[in-house]
Amino acid sequence: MISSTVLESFEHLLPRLRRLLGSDGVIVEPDRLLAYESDALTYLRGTPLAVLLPRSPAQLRAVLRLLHRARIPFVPRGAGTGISGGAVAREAVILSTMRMNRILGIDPADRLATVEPGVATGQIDAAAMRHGLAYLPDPASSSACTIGGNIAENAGGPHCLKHGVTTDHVRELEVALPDGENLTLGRGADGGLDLAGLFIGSEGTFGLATRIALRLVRRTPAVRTALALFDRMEEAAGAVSELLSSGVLPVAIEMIDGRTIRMVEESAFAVGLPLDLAAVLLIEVEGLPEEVEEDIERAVAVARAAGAREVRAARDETERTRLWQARKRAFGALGRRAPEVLVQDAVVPRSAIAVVLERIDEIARRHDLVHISYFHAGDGNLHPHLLFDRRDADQVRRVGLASKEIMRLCVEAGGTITGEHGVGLDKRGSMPLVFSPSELEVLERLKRAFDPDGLCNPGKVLPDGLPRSPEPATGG
Amino acid sequence: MQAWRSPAGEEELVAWLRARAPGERAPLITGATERAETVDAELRECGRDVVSTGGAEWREIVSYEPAELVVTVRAGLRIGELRRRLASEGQWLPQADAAPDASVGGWVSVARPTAWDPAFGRIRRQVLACRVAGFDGKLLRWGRAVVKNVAGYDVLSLLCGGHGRLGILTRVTLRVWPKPPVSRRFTLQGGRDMWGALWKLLDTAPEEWPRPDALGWDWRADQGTPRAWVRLVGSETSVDARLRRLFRWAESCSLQVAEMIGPVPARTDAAPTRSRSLSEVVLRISTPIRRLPEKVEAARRALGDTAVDLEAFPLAGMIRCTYRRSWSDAPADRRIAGLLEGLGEAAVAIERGGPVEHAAAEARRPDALRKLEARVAEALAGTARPWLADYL
Repeated sequence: MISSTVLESFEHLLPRLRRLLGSDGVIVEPDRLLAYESDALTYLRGTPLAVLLPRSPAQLRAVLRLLHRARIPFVPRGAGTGISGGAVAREAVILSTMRMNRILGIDPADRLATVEPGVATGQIDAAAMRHGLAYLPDPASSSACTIGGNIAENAGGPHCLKHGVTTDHVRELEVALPDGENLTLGRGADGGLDLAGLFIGSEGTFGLATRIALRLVRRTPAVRTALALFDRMEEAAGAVSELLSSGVLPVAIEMIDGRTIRMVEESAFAVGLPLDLAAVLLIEVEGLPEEVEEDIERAVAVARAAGAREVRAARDETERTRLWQARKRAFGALGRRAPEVLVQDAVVPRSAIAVVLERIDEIARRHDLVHISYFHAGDGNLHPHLLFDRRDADQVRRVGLASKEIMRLCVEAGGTITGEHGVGLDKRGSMPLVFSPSELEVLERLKRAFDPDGLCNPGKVLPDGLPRSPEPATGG
Repeated sequence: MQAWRSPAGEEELVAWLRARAPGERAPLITGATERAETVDAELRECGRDVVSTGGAEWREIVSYEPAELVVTVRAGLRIGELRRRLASEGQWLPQADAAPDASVGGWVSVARPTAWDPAFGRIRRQVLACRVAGFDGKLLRWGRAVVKNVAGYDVLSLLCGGHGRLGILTRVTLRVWPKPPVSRRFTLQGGRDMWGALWKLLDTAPEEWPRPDALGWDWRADQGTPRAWVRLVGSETSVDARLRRLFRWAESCSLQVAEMIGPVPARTDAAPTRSRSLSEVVLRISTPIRRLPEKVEAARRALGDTAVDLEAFPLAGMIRCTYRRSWSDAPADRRIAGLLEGLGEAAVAIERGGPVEHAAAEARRPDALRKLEARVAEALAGTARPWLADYL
């Protein structure tokens, strides 16, 4: 239920917002707001007051100043592909960056791309490719997700094993703070603190990035891919550690469990894998042609030594695409089994992968849920998928319980509650598993350093009930 | 120096911090100095408490899991000791080429950019977790011993390069890398246009790009002729393949390639950034890659015969500049001012300098940014003035 104060303030502000953004820049119609009720984590929902669509950083800052003066909370949102409920708005307006979608420049000499936050990540790499360069982070949703959203979540992707995550590829950020102030945050190059590093991954709770300078690198000319088939999960997991210790640094090591394989093979997306496998590893290496030939041979040898039943190495791009199909089509295949899926996200030490997956299976069984897994094994970044029907309230309840148990399990195994999807709304309750009360207090104070009034994406990341410190004294 | 403290471990450190009077100035931290008698003169004159995490109790590997490529150490462990231990398991940390007596805590706190960073990531990427004693005596832990973690806010990005302004590191967890079987170094000299040659290298087509793991250019006053250098690490096949491409490029630019044999000399300039008496200033200039030659020339012109060393890292868009100065030398003020003016809009950080240099660099930073930094520092460490100039 929206508080009458916020509602009144917003209605009072509406004409000014329409004048600033144009009538097509303000969405208030209930049927149009439906599309913004959740991000890709569909079981967490909220109805925003409105959706505002500025077209430029100047417009965005003007909107922020108006919202700030009127004390109206807001939720930054890109493409809404997030999987943590971070873009859900309850008693707030959504501030969409989708119309701030220009690639401002690609500078091949400086290996730099400068973009607005609403540019799709895949578009940046496509633009860089024309100059023989690459933007390396590749979230699975890169054809749709925005770079602003990637900044908010410090997004990773299958190939971040070798290349790092979003923060490793950002040179500079221009940001709008919640009061509309414009700042350029560097990486400490001027002797100051790495405030850009702090901002990246703050899940839209510190402000919005309005202009992003990204590092580009020379593209690698060759890639080779292999698919190793295992009869035992322990052997597949063991192969991951062996591979990384061997000196081969693959650009990706993805694991797909037996249940997922069977689901894919029983669907229209079948790729021809045996149905009795425990797991497959998809291993990809890149570099110069001479390097990848050597690396893929070593990877195949390591996988065989670790117990692989069979290893299929792609000989060309067509075969490479076919090997990736099991990974890429898995999500589509799930639709036959259930209308919804909760894609969880946690990280464990690689040595714990097999044991943790077994325990997740037990948790799912106990809650009478179907669990499948395909994930970034090279990083220990698990993605347990729990299938459910949102219309079954009891099933939704059991999914929530199972999720919490999975988080606890991963932390007890030495890991953490999120590797790339973020905390958002979904995992606030799990934050005390990885942060002490003192640490949570510090995080709250950091949030207040950027957003003293608590208007920016409220109710995300930090659990409720944290003591609110008095305004920090500055200077002197 | 008001007091010298050398606590025998975390518990004693925390107890001492808690016993300090509220509002007392944050202590200075040294990780590599074990005894009060050997404290640098400038630390003695700083008017603050100095706390050391360099004693034997701080020089320990807490846990090391080679299969996980993760190691956790107490902050006073020396870089040289860490390197040896990692090497015994066939592992390494590329950026840990600091002087062997530097502490791991100091290495993280300074987070000095290196030529390895474009290939392996900055030092922040190698740091998975830290335990920090706040100046109020609270012991906080940031990060986990896993290579991906986006829970909460990235406090580690503040601590890496924080220079001890935001708390005292007591424990650090690092990711490490398999040590490549082959590591080779080459210098490149001659040719008519070294910078032009480097641009040609950077513009090489992907299939000819030798992908240097580290690439640098340097000029030393005592040598006169600049040279470029390259490091290639990896398997023999990988290094050979890239070396062939490197040679083709060098030949096309009339450059002579010479291999450097023997151990890489350890850097000796891992001293703290604060100094009232030292004779050299080191500053770091960040600039668009293609403006490196312009900034190098600007630095040389401004410094004249006081310039000692200029090194550039083309892939990182960075220059490190060393020049001589003396504290009793009044023109030192004008020298830094002239240098900064010549560098224009380039971002400048003082890696080693005195109050004059730090204040001059700090004055270039926008006020709004300093205010946000003050709020962040207050939030994290209860200190509203995280400026390096204030620590001198």
